[in-house]
Amino acid sequence: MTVRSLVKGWNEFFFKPQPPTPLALFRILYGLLTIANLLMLKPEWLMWYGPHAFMSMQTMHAVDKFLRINFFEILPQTGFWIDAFFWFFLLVAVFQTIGYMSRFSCVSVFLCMMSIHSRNPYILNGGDQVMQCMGFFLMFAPAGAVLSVDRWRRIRQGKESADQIPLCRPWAQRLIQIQASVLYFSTFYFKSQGPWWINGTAFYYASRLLEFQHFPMPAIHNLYLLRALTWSTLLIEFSLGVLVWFRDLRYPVLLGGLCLHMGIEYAMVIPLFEWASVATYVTFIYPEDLSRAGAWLRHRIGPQLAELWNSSLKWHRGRTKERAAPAKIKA
Amino acid sequence: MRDLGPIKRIAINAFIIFHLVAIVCWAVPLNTLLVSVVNITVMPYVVLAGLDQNWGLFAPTPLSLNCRVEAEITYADGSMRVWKFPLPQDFGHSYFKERDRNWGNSSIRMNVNFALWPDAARYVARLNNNRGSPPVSVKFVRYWSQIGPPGSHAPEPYDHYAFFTYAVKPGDLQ
Repeated sequence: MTVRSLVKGWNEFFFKPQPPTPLALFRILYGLLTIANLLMLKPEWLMWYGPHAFMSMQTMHAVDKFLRINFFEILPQTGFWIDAFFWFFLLVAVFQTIGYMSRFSCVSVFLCMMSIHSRNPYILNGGDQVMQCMGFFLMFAPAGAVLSVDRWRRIRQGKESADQIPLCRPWAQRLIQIQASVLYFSTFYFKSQGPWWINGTAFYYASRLLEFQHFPMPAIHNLYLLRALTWSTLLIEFSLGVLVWFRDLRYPVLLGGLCLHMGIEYAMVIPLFEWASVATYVTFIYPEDLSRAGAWLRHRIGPQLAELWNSSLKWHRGRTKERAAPAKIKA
Repeated sequence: MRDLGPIKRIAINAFIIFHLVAIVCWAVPLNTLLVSVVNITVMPYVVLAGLDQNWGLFAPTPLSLNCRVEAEITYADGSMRVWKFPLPQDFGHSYFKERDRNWGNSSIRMNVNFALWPDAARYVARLNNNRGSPPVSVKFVRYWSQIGPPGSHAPEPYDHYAFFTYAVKPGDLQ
């Protein structure tokens, strides 16, 4: 391996143009998760972030000396302004999902998210951390290049052709992928230091924690089953950190990750962590496979969708004629 | 597609390398001098950019305790009331109470977060100021029960310990 081949590999990996469809899909999922998070939090906007919140601004300053992005520092501390902030956050999250003013909305969503995380970091969970890290890199990505209102407007203005998907340099997407891998490798590494993960009983203790329990699960006392569940968790997390980079192994590894997260989602309450982690998987899908899947979907569902669209148009025209008819008689 | 100019390409490469080093050193807990030096150097930026991360949930070992925090509120007329920091299991394991779980069980419960206790006590006092006589003190009590090893079906009784008492001032209730 020469320096020249290393540089070539680096350039191909980070800069070789490719369709930005996986990124756009990730932007949509990220926006939907942000909206879901905000709506779940809505009954408690003022409880956590209001002028009489659980943690006051003075305490926030006392416990955290770091410089952080935090709009609450400049917002007037009244219920009205805190509510206005959250409605703005929700609006830009909707813009991000539909791909309207994509760069602006991605940056705004990240800044608003950082603000609520900085205002009270003591109520955050793994899902918030995933969203925060991925949101940072998403700001630098051409996330609105396709599957977006921005693209539709560019086509209407004649700036882009509808038949041709624009190509983009994937360096920001690669950073999102690397961040996801680092997440899994890190959690694998942390766990591999613990005796219960090595002796195979960690799953038992994690599943017995009442505060995390979600849907009913029988207490498992069978050591063989416990070991299988504990060690398969380690294996899948290691694979998502390392083996996911091998082309032939990528999809089986992602499938393993999906099963792991859906299992945790069933057994434990860690809101949005599972969905945020799984959402990053779309950045690992090869664009050509995504195009194939899109073409297949269009082929399978497209005619039905077109038929539905035409029949709704006919119904709408019929209604318009019905309303117009009495006026004609009168005339 | 337009070619990147040399300056832009150098800037993007520098951005990539810097962030790769920062997130790997920050997230992977390698105990070496080099990693420590990198972490201390990049810490202000990593925190500002929201890239500070810890993926150690249930690691190195999951907690083997079931715990909860309760507040005992004493009123001016001598009566008492117990208010529980909400947990998902009190609400049918609802997603909506997960932040409350984090606040009560992961933050308020821990001695290291003692700076949060007065604010939390004031909030609890305001929340429970709905009687004729006002709250005069709020006491936080932590309850915990050890999870037995696999195969043990023995009962897991709860211990408790009062770890903070706050004398409520009239101004706290507004």
